[in-house]
Amino acid sequence: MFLTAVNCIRGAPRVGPAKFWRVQQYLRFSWGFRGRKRHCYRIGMRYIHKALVYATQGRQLKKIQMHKLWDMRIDAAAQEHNLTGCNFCEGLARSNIQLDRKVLTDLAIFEPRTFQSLVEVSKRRLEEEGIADVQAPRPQGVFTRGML
Amino acid sequence: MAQHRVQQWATFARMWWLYDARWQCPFQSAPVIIRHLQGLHKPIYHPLSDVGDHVVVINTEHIAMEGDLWRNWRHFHHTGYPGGFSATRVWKVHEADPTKVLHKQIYSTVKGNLLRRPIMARLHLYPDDNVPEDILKNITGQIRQLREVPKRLDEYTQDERDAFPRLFEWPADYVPNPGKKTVKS
Repeated sequence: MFLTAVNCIRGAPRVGPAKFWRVQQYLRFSWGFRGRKRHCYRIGMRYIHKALVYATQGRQLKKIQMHKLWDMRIDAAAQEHNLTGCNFCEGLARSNIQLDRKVLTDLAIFEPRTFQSLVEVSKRRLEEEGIADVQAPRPQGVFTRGML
Repeated sequence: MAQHRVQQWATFARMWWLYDARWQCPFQSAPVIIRHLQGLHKPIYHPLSDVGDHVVVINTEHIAMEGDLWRNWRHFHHTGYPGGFSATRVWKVHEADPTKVLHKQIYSTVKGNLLRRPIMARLHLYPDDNVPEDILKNITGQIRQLREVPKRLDEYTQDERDAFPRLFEWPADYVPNPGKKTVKS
């Protein structure tokens, strides 16, 4: 006894032409497509193969893009405290603070004071190691509203 | 705490920055300005979200260019019709509109996507330091100049000039630039 109608028609599962079950699997992949790609096996098959290639590449691309975005955000957050993102990460690495970019970005957005204390740690470390002159006074040449 | 679920303080507020373009290179100033226009200086930056700030640029008629670029750099235009191409020297463009050089440079530096129009709308360019009061009252920050404007000799007082250290005194009959030699007939 088969509760599923398809199994009644085709006999027992996995019995019969293998193509029928292959088509069913492809139709499950193409459920979100548009036009005849969605219901016609011979047409949709090619687009499914390409879509699977895109999905494979996209898994790598997503990691790369997120990495870039986190770098940009960390750089922006560190520059608020007069430190480049590159130097900031260098100081953290030398302090053996093993926070990744995602966590640092989340701290910069949602816990700015925590991030600021991390920047101070990094600055102190950079100063001790002589990597960058981070405590140097900022250059002059900035004028305020009263002077305009 | 449900009422604090979307409490964002002033995270998405737009700041207004001032940039003094006097004696600054437009090619090097543009990336600095668009960094603030796009919001790249904020930790919440995302390329698809419109989180940038306003930038008010003053003294655009006093921008500086390196070498012979005022004569050699050209702005191109094409009307779309055959033979509609034209190239204008940048000094000529600058004479016609003192804000155009910086505007075009920033426009071409911003990536050409759907956000370019709102980004450019947040840029306010003024040829001199006469900024309208309604713009000026919003300004809360300043972008530091890339190059410090040097002082000219006539801006120093006589006391400062006299106090400047000298290695030696010029002879009384020394002529710094004798000029073209005149042939006596």
